[in-house]
Amino acid sequence: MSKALLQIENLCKSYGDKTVVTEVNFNVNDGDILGFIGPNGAGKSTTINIISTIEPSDNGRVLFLGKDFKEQEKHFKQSLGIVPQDLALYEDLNAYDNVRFFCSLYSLKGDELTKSVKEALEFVGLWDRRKEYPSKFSGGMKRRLNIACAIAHHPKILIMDEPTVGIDPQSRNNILETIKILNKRGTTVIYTSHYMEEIEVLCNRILLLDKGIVIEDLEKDVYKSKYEALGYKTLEDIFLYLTGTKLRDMED
Amino acid sequence: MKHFGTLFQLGLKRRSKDFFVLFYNIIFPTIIIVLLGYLTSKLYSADFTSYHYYTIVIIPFCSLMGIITVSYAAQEEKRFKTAYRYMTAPISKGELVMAKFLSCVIIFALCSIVTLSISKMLFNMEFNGKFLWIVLLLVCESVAVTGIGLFLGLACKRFDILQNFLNLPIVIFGFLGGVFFPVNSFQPVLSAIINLSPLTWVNRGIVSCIFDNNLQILWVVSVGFLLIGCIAIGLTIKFFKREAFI
Repeated sequence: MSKALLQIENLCKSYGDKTVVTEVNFNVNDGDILGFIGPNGAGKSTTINIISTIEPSDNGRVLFLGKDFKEQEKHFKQSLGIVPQDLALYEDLNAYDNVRFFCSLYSLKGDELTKSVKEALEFVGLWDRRKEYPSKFSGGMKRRLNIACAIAHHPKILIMDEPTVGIDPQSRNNILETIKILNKRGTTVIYTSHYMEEIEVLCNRILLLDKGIVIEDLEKDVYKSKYEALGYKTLEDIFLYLTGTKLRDMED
Repeated sequence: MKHFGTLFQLGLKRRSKDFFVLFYNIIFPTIIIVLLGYLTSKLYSADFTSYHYYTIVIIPFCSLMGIITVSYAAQEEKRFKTAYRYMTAPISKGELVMAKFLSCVIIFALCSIVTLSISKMLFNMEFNGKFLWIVLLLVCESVAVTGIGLFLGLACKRFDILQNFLNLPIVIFGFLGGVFFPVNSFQPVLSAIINLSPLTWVNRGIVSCIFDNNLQILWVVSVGFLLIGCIAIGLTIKFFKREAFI
């Protein structure tokens, strides 16, 4: 059995009167590609923000390799790569300088930095376009550059927040293949998306969050066997069965 | 301070290419000096021309306007949405703020020096051999301006509302400091109001330095600016708001 890289224990978060995350518990095991899904307003982004140290929780804790991440924040951050949903790139720096700058925030220097930047750009297929500016890139290329900036420092855990929004099928396929290779190389991935087919193809474990509560946390194969018997064949069917079909913005 | 160098280099690179910084601190003041100097040229003597007057008052005023530019520069990671990467990287608030601070101070000070040098050449200003003292004052003003701008941009939660009104006190300070036309009064209340403007003291410091060989006001104002800058930067680090940055 894989060891738990991250243990999320009793996480709670409220904004004013509104509770967005309630007693969330789950583990992220070494080598997982964890699909983190849920409808809008389920608490995914808040949970991701707490795990990635962007905002503090009201209650609960996150353990990294068995130790509270607040006690080892620098070490934890060094092990973390983030692919935000919004493109987090400097438009006035070329692709190479973007990756180099963000990679250098993780204490890489000299030859090691140069090598890592080259590897990351080659990995996402942008090495030949390294001198071009993101403004000249297509949506898919920008997304790949966004990933390169997150992986250049060789993070142990990679959090990807809807990294394939608004791109063509070829770019999406390329990104999904990239994630699989990264995972084979030892990177643990937490992947959020509203595209259920991506989650099905990519993830070995799926965690479904709704209204701030973990509804289901199962291995992909177990999901299938559990819900197929009830007549739900695809992940999307299961998702709608568990979370309902009512529009979420109508509830606000 | 492991990442300070990286952040500082990027800040310097970005500020030196920032159109708004270069325009509002070099091109704009030069145009205003030429324009106002020309329009009021008959009101001044041959020794102390209108161009000399407006050089003395406009450059510190435009430098003070830099508070607005700095406060926007403080939030550029928010605009580019790169703040998320900064917040999840193993860098400290201190490194982030100090890198922004020093890069802005250097570029703003250089802009003021370039504008001052342009005026020196265009209008044959000799500054009575006190050019470097005036440069010192402008550098100290850049420290205060950057400190205040960063504080507003990074430590004020509702900066989005504040930014709409920010130019108002600066223009009032400019008016009281005699930026648009010389202002003076023997009436005690009005005189006290005029004295509230930092630009009044900057201009007095420069004038007494050039024409009276008296550096006292210039020194006091310079030290005052340094203190304000240091306090503002300390407060920015202490009250740095993640939500303002992200």
